[in-house]
Order: sequence, then C-alpha cells, then structure tokens
Amino acid sequence: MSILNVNDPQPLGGGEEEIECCPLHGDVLEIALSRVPFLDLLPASRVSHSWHRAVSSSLLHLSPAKPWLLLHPSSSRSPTLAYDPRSHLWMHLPSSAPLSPVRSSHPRILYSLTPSSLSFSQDPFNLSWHRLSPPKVWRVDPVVALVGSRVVVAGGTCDFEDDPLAVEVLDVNSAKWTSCGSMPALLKGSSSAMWLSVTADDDRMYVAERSSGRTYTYRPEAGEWSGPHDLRTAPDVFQVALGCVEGGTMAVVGLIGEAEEVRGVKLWEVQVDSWEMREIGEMENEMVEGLKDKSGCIWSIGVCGSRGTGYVYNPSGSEGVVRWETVIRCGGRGKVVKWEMARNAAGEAAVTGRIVWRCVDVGINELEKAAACGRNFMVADG
Amino acid sequence: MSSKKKVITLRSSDGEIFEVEEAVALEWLTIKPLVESGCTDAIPLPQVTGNILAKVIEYCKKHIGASESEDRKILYELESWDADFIKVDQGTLFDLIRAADYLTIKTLFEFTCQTVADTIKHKTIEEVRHIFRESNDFTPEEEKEIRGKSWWLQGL
Repeated sequence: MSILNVNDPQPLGGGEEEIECCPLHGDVLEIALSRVPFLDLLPASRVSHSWHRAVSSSLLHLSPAKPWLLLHPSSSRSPTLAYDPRSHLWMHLPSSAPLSPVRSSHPRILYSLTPSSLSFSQDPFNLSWHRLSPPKVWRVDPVVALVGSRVVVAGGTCDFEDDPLAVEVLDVNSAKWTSCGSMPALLKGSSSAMWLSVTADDDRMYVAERSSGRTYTYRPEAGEWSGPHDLRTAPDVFQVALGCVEGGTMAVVGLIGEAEEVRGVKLWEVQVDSWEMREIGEMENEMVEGLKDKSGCIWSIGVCGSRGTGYVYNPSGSEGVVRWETVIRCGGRGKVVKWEMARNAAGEAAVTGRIVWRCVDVGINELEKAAACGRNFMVADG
Repeated sequence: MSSKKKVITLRSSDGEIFEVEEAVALEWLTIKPLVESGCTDAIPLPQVTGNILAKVIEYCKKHIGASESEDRKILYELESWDADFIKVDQGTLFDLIRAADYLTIKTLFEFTCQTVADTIKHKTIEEVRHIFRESNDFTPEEEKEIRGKSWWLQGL
C-alpha cells in the first residue's frame, strides 16, 4: 500500500550515494509540483527534461490549470487583477490596453469603442489588439460578442435618430462590417449591455434580459434571431445571468428572492437546442452573504465562465467572489457542483469605477507568451 | 504515559529496533492491518533506515492527537515544532517523503511534499537546478528555443 502509485520504485539495494545523485523525480516531484503556484511552474518546467515532464504530468493528472478571473479597471493605466483558483492567488498584471475605456460584455472579447474605431482583443492576456473602423451606428455600451470569427455589435444607447436595436456584424477575416437588421423589439427598453447578459458559442450568441429572464438566440451567419425562451424557472427568480456554453449546454445563474433580501443563488444547466432546464446546484448561504454589497443587497449579478467553471460577482462591489466548478463524479456518472469563495480584490474600485470582469483559460503556454511580451505577474497577496 | 499502552516493535532496514505505541502505528496505513491482527513480532520495514524511522516516529508521536486540537496555542506550538523538525538536509527530506509514502502516513507525506513545493516557489530556473542538483539536459537548440520564447530567462 502506498500514497502514490509508484510504478518506478527506488531500486532495491541502492546505496545512499545513489539516492544523493538522483534526488527527486517521478511521482514525488509531481505531487510537490501540484502544490506549487501556477506562476512558478513556468521556470520549473524549464529546469530539465524530467522536470518538464513532471510539470506536464502534474498539470494533467494531479492539479490541472483552472480558468482565471481577470478584472480590468476601465481606466487603461491601472493594472489588471488576475485570480488563479488553482493557486488561490491574486496577481497584478501591467495593463496591456492601448486605449481607454475598455469594455466587455462577453468574456472572450475585450474591446474599446470610440467614434473613430473599434479595437478588440481575444487572447487571455490581451497581448494583441485589432484596430478596425467602427460600426456605422454610434452607440454607447452595446452588446459585443465574439461568435466564431465574427464580432457582433448589437443594441446600446445611441442618438435618437438611430435604431437602438441596430445589429452590425464584423467579419474578422475580411474586416468588413455588415448591417444585420435589429434586435427583437421586446428588448427595446433594455438594449444596453447593462441590462443584458450575453454568452456565445461558435455559431450563436445568447442574450438574456437580466430581470425578466427572456433569452434570445442570434445566428450571425443567417442574421436571424429566435426566442424568447424564459429562463426564469420560478416566479421568485428575479435576476438571471448566463455563464458559458459548452457542447450545447449553457450555465445559467439565478438570484432568488429580491434585491434587498436575496434568499439564494442557484445554478441551472440549459440545453440550448431544446431549452430544457435542470437545476444543478445552489450556492451556500455564507457565500450568498459574501456577494452582498455594503447595504446587504444584490441588485444585479455578474457571471463569467469557461470550461465547466464560472465566477459569480456583484458589479456594485462585495467582499467575495464565488466560483463554481462542475466536476464529473467518479465513474463518469453525473456531475457535482463545487462552490468556493475568494476575496474580491477589486474591493472599493468596483464601486468607484467600472470594472470589466472576464474569465479566461490560462495554460503554461499563455504564461510563456505573456512573459515573452514582457508582461510579468506580481503576486498581490499570500 | 501509562505503561499499560500496547507497544509495537519495528525493525528498520539496517536492523535497528524501535518501539512505538499502538495508537501511533495505527496511523501508518501500510502496517495497520498487521498491527490490528495482533502481530507481536518486530515488523520489518526494509525500505526505511533507522535514522529516518526515528524521525518519522518523532513526528508521529508529536502529532498524534495534537493535529486535531482546536486550541490555538497548541496548534501554534505544533507549527513551530514542525518548522524546526523539517530543518534537515535535502537527502533526509526526500527520504522522509519516501518513508511517508511507503508507510502511508498522510500527514507527514503532505507536510514534506508541501515543504518541497515551498522550496520551488519564487525561484529562478538556475536556483531550482542548484537546490535540487538537477542538471540542465536541454540541448543548446532547445535552450535557444526556450530563450526565444521567454526573454526574461536570458539573464539567468
């Protein structure tokens, strides 16, 4: 019996000298590496071939990388805050945005829209930016989503002569804009991204009106909208927000009760073809408390997610940020949802200035690219 | 300590004999079945030398009962005791990891692995190589590729 499954035990009869010259390798090294913060795995993977293998194996089998939470202050000169749930660490990253203010309504794309240009970045640490001509209709705070190789810009607040529901689609490869009609009329009073929660997969964008749960689907390729589908499963759900869509399943978070007295936060899985909904988890009370603002309310909830994980936050500021992770049960049957709360490093900044929340996939390669561009992380605490 | 407590005899790879309380030996999952079966002979531990076994016993004796304590003072005291206990040379540390693994002592295994992890933290590549006596077996071409990817490694 052994804690490790030692496939490669120490050779028997090996003298002490032998142990001296091959000190740490194999499974023991992998276990130790599983407890090393993610940032430190980059140099560790460059020590030697065996360490390189041990880092890869440790990340694959013992302690995988988990999607990070990024907080971009809207003023582009402030550093970005990054939270790595694998290491439970907050870090600072020098800002990479060439412009201000940055916005995001869909975690996969960070953008900055001015009357003269649309700049956007798709990579996790925003190392590269595309700068293109702006959409025809000038608007403030539209919905912006990346759907496959298209950027959809919809709604927003605009001058009175323009259609507040106008939709324009940018083909990233050809850099051409196409006007694609309007958003559904029911969204007329709430076409600003503030009232909407947005997610997308490779061919569809999903837009939910936060307060009503009415959700529409848009296919930019065909330029067609469908819906609405009601994501409020019960009358006491007063707010919904969309997580990521993976393999035809969308995560949906709902607030139960009312803003001044939130009674719970639940998580559903929605099949985006049949719109069948299934409750898969409920946040623990203590975490719901951690999401409340100073006056004990949750007026609005924000969600961003990736790869089976999502972060739930209060855009008006709260002590905590809650992360969920869906884990496949042993034997492959069914899923369990694990919740955990982290300190909200945005703190007061969330109240005083607008913060853009994103969830991004980060692997050793992404760290390497960031380092190669001179973007070094500084651990903020712990 | 009451003399009534049952004692288990252990024999290290180099033939040293140790006696531990049954309660301590029951925490070692590898030998737990033997202890429970009422074995009275010395249990041979062919993969652990006497000096390492002495350290392992010292750790487990200190931790039995104390780890579960909720008394902050006891836990604080235990933490500083651990810090002193682990001030050992690297060979001993790795031997402790192997012994904890072989004997399946979860607390000691986690503690020693965490100690190694803490040593790797915040180190440059060269520092890690030096500390763990790991030689750089990347070819010059591979090195060049690594350097190309990460300019900040060049100064190392």
